[in-house]
Parts: sequence; C-alpha cells; structure tokens
Amino acid sequence: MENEILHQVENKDLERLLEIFRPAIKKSLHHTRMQEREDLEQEISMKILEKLNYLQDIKTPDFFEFIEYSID
Amino acid sequence: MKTIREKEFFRKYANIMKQPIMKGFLKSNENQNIFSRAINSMDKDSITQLNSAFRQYYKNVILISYISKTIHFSAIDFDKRLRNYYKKNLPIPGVAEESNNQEEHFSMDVLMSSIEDTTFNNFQNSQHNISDYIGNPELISSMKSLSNKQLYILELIYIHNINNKQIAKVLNESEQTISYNHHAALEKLRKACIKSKI
Repeated sequence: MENEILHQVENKDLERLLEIFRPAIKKSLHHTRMQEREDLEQEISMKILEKLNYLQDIKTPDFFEFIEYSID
Repeated sequence: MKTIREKEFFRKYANIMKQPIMKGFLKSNENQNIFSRAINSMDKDSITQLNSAFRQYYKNVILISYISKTIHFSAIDFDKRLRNYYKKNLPIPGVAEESNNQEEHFSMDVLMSSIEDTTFNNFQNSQHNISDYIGNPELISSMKSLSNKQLYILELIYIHNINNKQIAKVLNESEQTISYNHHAALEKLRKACIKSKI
C-alpha cells in the first residue's frame, strides 16, 4: 500500500505502526543488554505514541511549493 | 516517452528533478501519470492532484525518517541512562541485605576480613544453572551438546552481565577464546533450533 505510514499515523493506528517498524525496533534493542530489552521496547512504543499528535501535524510543501523553495 | 513540455520542465528544473525525493516520487507509475497529466495539460484539477499526491508522498517520507530516528536515538539514550544509573548506584553489600534470610546475609566486615579476594567465590555460591532460566525443554536438551566451558560462558554473559574481558580473567583464557566460544555456542544452538523447528 502506498504511503502506508502516513495512513497509519492519520488513523492513529499505533499497533499497525509498531508492526511496520518491528524490525527496526528489534534491531535497536541490541543497543542495550539482554535483561533490559523488554523495557526498552516498551519505552520506544511509548515514545512513538507520545509523538503521534506531533507527527499528524507536520506540514509538508506541495509540488510547486517544493520547487519554489528549492530555487531560493 | 516524455512529451516536449515534460522535457522542457525537466531541463528547466534539472537540479530539483535530480533530488532523491523527486526521483522517489516519480518512481511509482501512478505518480508518474499524475505528473505527466499536470505538466501537459496545466489545468487546475490535475495540478491540485499533483500537489496533493506530492504532499502526501513527502509527508510519508518525513514520517518514516522521523520514526526511525526516534527508535534509534531512544534506544541509545535508554542505554546511556541505564549505564549511568548502574555507575552511580553500585550495589553495596551489607546495606541492602536487611532480609531475614540469615544464610545469604553477609556484611561488609565479612568481606573485608579475608585477605583472599572472596568476591568471586561469593558470586559462585549464589549462582544458578543456566538451564533454570530456559523454559523450552527442546532448547535445554540441545544445550547438552555444548561443552561445559561454553555453557559457563553463556551463563556469565547472559545471566550475570559479565563482559568478555572479565570472563577471560576468571577463566584464565584469552578474550578471543571467550568470544569464539560464545559465538560457537550460539551458532550450535541456532542450528539445533532450526533442526528441531523451535
């Protein structure tokens, strides 16, 4: 599906979002030691949840705005 | 095949069209069609469509980048905080040992009284077997194929959080041997897991 992340953020579907990012999260767990990995996973999920509103409100330029910005 | 208008557009904004975000946007056939329609006809509807398709694509890219960075840096930050915590809060024997369990009780005096370093002995007495921590019976049986040394190394690393350097000192081996044995053990277990489809 195209722009899937965008759809999930707009629908605030945290579960699906975490599922998409599962491999990245699993990889980042290696930053900490064995015993703390579950905690870290929780913390990352929480961080993403906290940021959902902010993520929804991000404004991006449209096609011709982008071209204008890039010229300047 | 590009039309003259498209070619002109690409020539006029050559630098912009070379940017990864543009290339990525035009990679999908759907976006490519929207783009051609808008550039060739220049009517209001198709330009609006192009604008909104690009806006969505751009936002999607930004979200991916933002979330990936959040994941990466919160992991690093978490570990840093944890290390700091353990550095500042070393376990002090005798202070937190106010339990009723007399057997495990030992105070600072006991530790200090011996000329010999008893830290490791104490540690050895309080340790458990690594198979106590594993729930899967098939995994336990496949662990029997490991040598005692390998089991011991796994135990020290995964249960007691001891690093290679310290293990090397305890076992009187080189760090490389420890590292090799650690990985060999993991590889053996991995193969056993695949074989028995755990």
